[in-house]
Amino acid sequence: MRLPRFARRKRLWLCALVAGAAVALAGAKAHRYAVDHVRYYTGLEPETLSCVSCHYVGHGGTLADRFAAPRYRSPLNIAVSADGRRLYATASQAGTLLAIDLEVRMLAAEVPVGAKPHGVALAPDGRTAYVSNEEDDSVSVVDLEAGRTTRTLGAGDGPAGIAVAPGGGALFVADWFGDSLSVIDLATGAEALRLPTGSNPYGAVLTRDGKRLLVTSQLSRPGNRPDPPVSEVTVVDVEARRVLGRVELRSAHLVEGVEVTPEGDLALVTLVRPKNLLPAVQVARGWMMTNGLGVIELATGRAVQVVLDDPCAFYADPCDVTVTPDGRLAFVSHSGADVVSVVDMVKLRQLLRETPLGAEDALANRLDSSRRIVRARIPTGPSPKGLAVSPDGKTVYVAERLADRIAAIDVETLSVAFRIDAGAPGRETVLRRGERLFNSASRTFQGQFSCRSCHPNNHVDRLQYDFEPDGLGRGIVDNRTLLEIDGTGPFKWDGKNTSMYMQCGMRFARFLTRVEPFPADDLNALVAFMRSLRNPPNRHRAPGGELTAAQGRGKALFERSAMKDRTPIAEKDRCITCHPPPRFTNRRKADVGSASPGDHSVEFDTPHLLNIYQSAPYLHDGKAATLEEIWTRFNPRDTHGITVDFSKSDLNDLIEYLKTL
Amino acid sequence: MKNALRIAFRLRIVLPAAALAAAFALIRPSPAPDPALLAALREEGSLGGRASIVRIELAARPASPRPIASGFDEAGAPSVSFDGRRAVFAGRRAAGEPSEVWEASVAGSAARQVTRGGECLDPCYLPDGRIAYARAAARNAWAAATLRSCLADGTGERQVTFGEAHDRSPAVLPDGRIAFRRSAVGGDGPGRVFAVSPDGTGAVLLCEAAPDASVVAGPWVVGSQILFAEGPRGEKLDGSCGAAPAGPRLVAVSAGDPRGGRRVLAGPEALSGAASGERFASVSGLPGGGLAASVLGPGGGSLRRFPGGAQDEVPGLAGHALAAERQRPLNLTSVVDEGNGEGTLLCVDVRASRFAQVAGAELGAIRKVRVLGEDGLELASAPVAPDGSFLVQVPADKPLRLELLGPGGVIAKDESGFWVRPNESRACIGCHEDPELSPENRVPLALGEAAAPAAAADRQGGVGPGGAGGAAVAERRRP
Repeated sequence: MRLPRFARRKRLWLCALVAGAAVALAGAKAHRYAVDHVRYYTGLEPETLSCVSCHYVGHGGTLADRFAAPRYRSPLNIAVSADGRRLYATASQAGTLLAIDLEVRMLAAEVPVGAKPHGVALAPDGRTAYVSNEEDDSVSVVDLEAGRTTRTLGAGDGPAGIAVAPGGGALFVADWFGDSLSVIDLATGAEALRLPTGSNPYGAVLTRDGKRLLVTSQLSRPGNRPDPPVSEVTVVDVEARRVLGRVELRSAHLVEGVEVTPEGDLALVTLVRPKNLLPAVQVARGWMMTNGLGVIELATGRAVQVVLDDPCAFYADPCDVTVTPDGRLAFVSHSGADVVSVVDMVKLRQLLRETPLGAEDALANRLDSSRRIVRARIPTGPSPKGLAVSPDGKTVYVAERLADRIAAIDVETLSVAFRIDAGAPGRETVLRRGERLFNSASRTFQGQFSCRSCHPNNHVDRLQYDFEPDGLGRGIVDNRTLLEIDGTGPFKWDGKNTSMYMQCGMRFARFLTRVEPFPADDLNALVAFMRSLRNPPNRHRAPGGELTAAQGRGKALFERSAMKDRTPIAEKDRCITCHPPPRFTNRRKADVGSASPGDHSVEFDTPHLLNIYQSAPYLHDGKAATLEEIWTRFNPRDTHGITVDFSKSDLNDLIEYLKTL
Repeated sequence: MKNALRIAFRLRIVLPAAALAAAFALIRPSPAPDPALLAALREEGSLGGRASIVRIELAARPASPRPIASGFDEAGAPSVSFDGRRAVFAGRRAAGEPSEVWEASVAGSAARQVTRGGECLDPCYLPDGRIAYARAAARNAWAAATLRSCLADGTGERQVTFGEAHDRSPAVLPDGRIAFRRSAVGGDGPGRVFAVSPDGTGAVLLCEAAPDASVVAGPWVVGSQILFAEGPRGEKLDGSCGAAPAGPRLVAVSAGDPRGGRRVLAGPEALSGAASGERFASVSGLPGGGLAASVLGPGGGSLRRFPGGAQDEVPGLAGHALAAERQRPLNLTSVVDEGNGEGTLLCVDVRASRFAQVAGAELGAIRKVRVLGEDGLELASAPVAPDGSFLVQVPADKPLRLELLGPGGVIAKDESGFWVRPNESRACIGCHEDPELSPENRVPLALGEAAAPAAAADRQGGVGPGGAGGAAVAERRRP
């Protein structure tokens, strides 16, 4: 039966009304869900972040970033030719060596080298440059006249600092990931031998007489709480090719840049003095860390540390140092503060003379030293890194890494005289912005530290910290890597932070940096950058992925469901249950018997195992110095997997497999 | 007809465009006003409604003051927001009324009363938009005064400093803390410059006047400089609302290194009438660099420019501020929990001290620390661990004094009257240690880190039994 017209219209209106109400209700519910979702996962107010921000831009950048990504060079370390006409810079993100003509102040050439070039050293004849390539374990030999790479030499794991032996017969290359120094015979192009160094050797420089090589160690010795971290500078006899000695830098780490004074009597190294053994209850007065220089008297081996910070203003992440040819001034780049400090060497020497033997520790904690020895602070572009001084001593060049520029500092006026474009694309992507924020200490109280200060190379500093919220002297936690962190949430060892937004936003602001959190856009860029972090190539995994016999046996142990006597292993006790591929974490908390008396909980977040061999020490509080110790010392009741029936060779096999993950 | 259609067609384009332009103009924030000076002026010789805040355009010659708030019996201490758009000042509507904080637009608008019912002086904006000010107990030049902060509408007042002192002139440092001047009630003893977080935590001595002098006005923060006026110690100049007593020397120190690089910008020789009582009332930056100081004297006020010392006579000048946009320091986050009622005091090594009897004490000779209230009653005590560290929980928001005890009794007393905020963990390197010292990186034994079972620690108020070095268990006594 057909309804009258007015009734049909009424029904239509009714239907429209119901549909509208349903849409409105659904919309309101969706909006409420979205608001709760944003608050739960980020701790931010919902209007500051859109769905697109987190779920698209936060995963790799904007549309333009993805499809028209600019090519950043990111100059890292630099060297100036003996005639002062050319400057060579390693472009760490472009995989090239930049040749800059200093007369016309322009980028003259760009030579492809290996993956992630780090250091550059010039041959004595000035015709060849040697470039260490971090990610493909090689050294590129660049013919500077031809402008091309002529040879690629093999080196150890993660070549970093590089120096040419006097006469040009050999190369010394610090193997950043291998804790060793490769000596490469340039006549044969082969690695002649490897010498043991400190943890993560970084910088290398010859003494003025060419007889000794000094190699800095970026990280301290692992697993040493409650003793303070100790880093070392390895001294190598160049002629005999053996380690002469190890200069210890107590309570210091991130020892990176190194330079010898023209007089040849002192070596200067950049360093950070962490305060990780104290509870992190404040930042003021260098309570978290101080930034400075180590001064080594080469004749005696005496090491003195001086702070370059001011009492209420800090200069984070000192990373390179150079001295003018007349020995009057030293320049130190602070990549976290975007500043180059100028140290008066005459006054520094006077300070050393006034410091009696045995009083070195007291001097190392003085915040007023800079008042005496720092002559100027020169603002630079973002993330100043490598330094080099011109042969005439009139200009100091600094690589402004995240601006793709080289700044030239006039030594007379102590100001930036000019800048040279090293191929800056002129646009900052979201990831690049995040990288800049990650490396900047501007969001920390008094600029004391950056994210990079605790996560050098986006990885770990191997230290354990005592944060305030869980009580002083309790809840000690080991620093965790940021590499491959995407998709491994929740975060923190107690798994309380639901997302990286929460971790890097309000929680860090309240308990660590002590200043307001990043604005939403900056936080999104920072998270996007951290999500993009990937491990360097795994040195224990064959290129094709095939396993050695030992690794294969280890894999079987990792995946086994029964003990050797065929007793079934409960699912919860199997390695692969908590550490399933592809990231080898089930993202849940577990009690593996690792809790210490001061811990609040016996359960901790399950870490991912990708490149786990690089993340020592282990367990939530870093009590296991090596992978072996997890089971030989800290698994007496088989709470961290069933290993009671393991032989020593079984454990070796398991670890060989773990190293391939 | 054709023309009408053409007009209509054009209007279809023009009207929406006009509407869009109008909307854009409405939505777009108006640019900050040109830099100007805000001056507190007092019209001498008349009765009632004779003080005002005026705007003086720096580019205009001759200067023509334009009132932005008037009708006050007294007005002074203007301070401008970080965006350069709003200003707060202390004003007294009538002679018998208390001084309150007022807010007005820098461009000129009706002044709005912010605080009520107090003797509120020296207001300034905090980075988060709150307003800090000094609240005095009485209308008296040296009455007890504490720093407070409130929201822009005057609600949500919080106390920032504690104790019986005369705290004045808050100013925001580049690192986000508040610098202020602390003197003893009554004016005895030297005035000194302290710094405190806006939530009242971490109060520390920032800098002092020369040994023979006292900070008598300021501090003012201009860029990365802290400026203050210092005068002879013990001098008591008559100060009133908006015109704090000042001295004949204007001193600048670096905010990054407040105890080093002290520069005297203007000594007695720079003030024509220092002998006749001229004094600094306020200091600000100038748009092209340099400083401007309000100098008050019996002969009237003047604005001096530094460097150079150029002088503009400004009749009735009582103080000024630069009305211009400046960089906003970052807000500092807070761990204060008002519901807690207690804070924690951690000392790394009591022997790190400038007191000879403490610094020279044998290892283990100092055995106990007692925490006393203002009345001398014991509030808490804790053993001092063999490495010199102690950890004790203390009542929050009360001026505290410490006593270090050895076998023979009291070895040293601290009379500073510092305080701890609720839930604050206040850490010191030593007892009155060198303030330019950073702590040594070691685990204080008082934390009992190695062997502190969580449950046991909970029972003992968060303080675990000592580890290898011995016990450091705090006793707490509620007052």
